[in-house]
Amino acid sequence: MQPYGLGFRYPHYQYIKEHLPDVGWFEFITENLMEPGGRPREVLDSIHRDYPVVLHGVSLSIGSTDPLNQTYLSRLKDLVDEVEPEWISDHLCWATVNAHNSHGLLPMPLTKTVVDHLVDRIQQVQDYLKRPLTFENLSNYLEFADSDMDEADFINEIMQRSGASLLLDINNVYVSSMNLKRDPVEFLDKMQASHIRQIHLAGHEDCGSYLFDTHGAPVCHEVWDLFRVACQKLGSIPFMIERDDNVPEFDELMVELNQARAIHDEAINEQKTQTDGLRSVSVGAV
Amino acid sequence: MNFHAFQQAFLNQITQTTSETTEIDPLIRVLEHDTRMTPHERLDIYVRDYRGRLYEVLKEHYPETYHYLGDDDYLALFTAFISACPPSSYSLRYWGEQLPDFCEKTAPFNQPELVDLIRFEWTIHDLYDGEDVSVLSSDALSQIDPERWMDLCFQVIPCFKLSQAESNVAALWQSLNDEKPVATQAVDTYLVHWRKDYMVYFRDLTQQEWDCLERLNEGNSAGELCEFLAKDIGDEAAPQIFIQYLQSWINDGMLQETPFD
Repeated sequence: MQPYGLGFRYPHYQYIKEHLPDVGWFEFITENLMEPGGRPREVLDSIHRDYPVVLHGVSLSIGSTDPLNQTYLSRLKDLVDEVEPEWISDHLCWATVNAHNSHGLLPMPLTKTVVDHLVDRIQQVQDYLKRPLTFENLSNYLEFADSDMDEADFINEIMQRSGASLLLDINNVYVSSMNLKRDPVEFLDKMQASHIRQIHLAGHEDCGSYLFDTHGAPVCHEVWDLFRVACQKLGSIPFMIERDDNVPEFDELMVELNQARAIHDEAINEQKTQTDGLRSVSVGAV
Repeated sequence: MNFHAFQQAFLNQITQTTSETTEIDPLIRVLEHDTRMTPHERLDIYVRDYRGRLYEVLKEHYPETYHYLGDDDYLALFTAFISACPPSSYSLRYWGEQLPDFCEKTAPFNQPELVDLIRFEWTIHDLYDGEDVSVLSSDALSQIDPERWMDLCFQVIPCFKLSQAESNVAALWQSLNDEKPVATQAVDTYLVHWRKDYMVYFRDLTQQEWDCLERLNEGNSAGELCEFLAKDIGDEAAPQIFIQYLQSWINDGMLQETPFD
């Protein structure tokens, strides 16, 4: 499977089927496919005949203190067993409490207690689905006074203990870093390549006093720069362009995807050249 | 504050309506302060996100209701509804399911034509992604021994719904959809909605055809349906009318393939 993918959006369906563009895989939104029939499932099946697919959910609410939603899990399992995606992901967040579902990606205090809570629930879901899960880091707009670890340590410990992997959203790293006055490169420095399954690239809106994660704009140059750093540090990890709002023509997304490919390939080649150089030096020394 | 209490406080804060004043002191204690934005301003990002997302979802589920009401009245409806029926399902696909009943019971939204329109739009939304099945064809029916016809029971497809309204809702919806002038009219209306391939269709029915379809859906055999029609139109005309109905239901793809043996 090629490492470069795109978030599938229905307006592009006809174009994709007619042109079979050079895209390594498509990511589908899980919740759009949980009903048993109709157009969404037909479109998924049709795309899947030509491309690998991955599923990206928004409703698992893994961090909630409510019991896991068995109806949701059952439908997710049916879907996953039928589609057999390359991997499945959701968000490292909570959305529901007392059965009231905000459908948001809500933040949590970064504490050992919350890590324990998340690891326990992730393992329950992985056991039920009989496959590992991937979780996306959030865009953050606030932080909590009782947090006793930073976000990178929080994520690393969850991945280490649960066996899950990270969907590293580079835009979210940038948005959170700017909103909370953090260094995004420092965050990336602490990430471990073995924990990362996928990368998202997306755009955001500058709201003056804060950045808001909209996925409704092109990737900005600061996020491209961070992506380059991520590729240099973490190596080749499947990446994709994610656009939820103001979805442009397919060609426009391909321009962004090709830009991502160029950055990725250049960084990987640099890394390879450096490794080869070190190997030559090492062999020469022997 | 334990994690569950934190989540309750956080959700209460971000789902409050503008007219409510929620006590947020317990939450503020766990929010880090800085000089650029206050905790209230930071929480407000989540408030706007919650309301903005649900506003758009309801508009997507009820596009012609939005056009019918316009921005201000739609916002009033949304604000009342989100407060009374916040989402509980895992999927936003289901948010808005209670809107028809909510409107029916709640002034000033309890106008029959508005309730009819909302119910009509939810049906379209609801049938969009139901189960797919093979539909009954005329050819399959022609293979059946004619002597057995009166005993046959037909099954409607899963994406099928009969409804009644007090207004000319189908015409209203079509006018709104076509961006043409709308005129509502109080009239008893009998409707069928169904999905064929990947499109949801609807049409007005006579009360007779509606009653006949309802009985078919309840499991009446062809013979029982002819008996029902005979009460209206006599023994001689009933089989002929039934065959006409049956042919149109098959042509429209409303009946599913059934092993008649």
